[in-house]
Amino acid sequence: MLDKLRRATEADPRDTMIAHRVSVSGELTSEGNVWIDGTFSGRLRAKGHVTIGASALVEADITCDSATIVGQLQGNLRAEAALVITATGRVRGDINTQQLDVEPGAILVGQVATDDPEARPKRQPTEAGSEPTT
Amino acid sequence: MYYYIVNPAAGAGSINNLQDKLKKLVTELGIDGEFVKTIGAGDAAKLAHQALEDKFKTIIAVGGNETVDEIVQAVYERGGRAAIGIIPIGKHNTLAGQLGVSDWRQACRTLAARRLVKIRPFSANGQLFFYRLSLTATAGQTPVGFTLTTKQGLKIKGSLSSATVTNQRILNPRYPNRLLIRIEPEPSGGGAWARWLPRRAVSGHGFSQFQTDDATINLTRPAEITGGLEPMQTDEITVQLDDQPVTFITDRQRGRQS
Repeated sequence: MLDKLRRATEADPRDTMIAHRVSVSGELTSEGNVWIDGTFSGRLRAKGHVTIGASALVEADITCDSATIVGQLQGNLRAEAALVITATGRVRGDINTQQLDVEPGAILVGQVATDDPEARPKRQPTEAGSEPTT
Repeated sequence: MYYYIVNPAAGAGSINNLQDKLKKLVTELGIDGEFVKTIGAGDAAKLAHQALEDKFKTIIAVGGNETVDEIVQAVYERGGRAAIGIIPIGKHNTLAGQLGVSDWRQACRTLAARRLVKIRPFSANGQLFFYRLSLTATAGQTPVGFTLTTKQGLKIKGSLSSATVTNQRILNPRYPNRLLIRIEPEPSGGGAWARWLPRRAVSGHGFSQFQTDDATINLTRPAEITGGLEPMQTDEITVQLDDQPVTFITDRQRGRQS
């Protein structure tokens, strides 16, 4: 079981990872998933899933298939399939996605556009000042 | 017909115990051929050159890292005109492992299946690397600061205790030839439980990894580079994919987790 769990969390060669205390700037393109725990500034394009980890500080425009924001993002984000902003997530920028899930406690400041009219934030943020607009 | 270059000294002479079994199995699998033995350092390269002169299309290295390295270098020098297979019987069998081959029986089946993959080597400070470059911070294992830049304008800064560069296509033949650079911030360790725990569960992956065609790494103090023909100490490394591929027989179909 542990072995199965460990394999599931290991990295594919196509994945891109930026560890804690590592800073990256420029234009980053990935054919796989991207996991950021450090700092990143610039532009990011990924064919897979983008995770902005709890310790991450990202100032970038992002285009990807889907994303999970646990840390901080300043910039516009287009996630083709879905976006999750967890309770610790902080986003300042415009969002464009099919499906948006904002957990209570998250902060989202910016415009939200969804291609699917039925796709609306499933849960509204509870912190003061966090008012996503669609 | 395959051309088998055997290092009788590899793996403390382990070939002597399995030579008959090996020849029997390759005959059963329909991949028998000419067997030749090396008699010292540099001999595997000479024999590989001879095999290419004799128009062999497949050369099999029966040995460990040194035998494989000599043969791969020789085939590369001749324009990569033959496919290379490996029967790993050495003490260290790094490339065989990366190609998904773990023992001589499996290697024979892999050779019979003849699944080919073209791998582009890469150069680092003028030295050619066919599968992996390892960079290790010396001086008491304390991490060394680094700045990594690419021609595409990417800039990465941090500290590392070690780093590896490989071609991601070795790990998965479906992926294109690109350099996979992995940077470890701290020495491996963390006690007996560390290897059982999912790294992401503790603090993300713990390492950095990305793909590129080239990179220049500047270090705040010299580090040791291994994986090529000669180890070197340097504080600046420039790595770049080479244009000429070498063809390997691989057991990988969809790749493995790295």
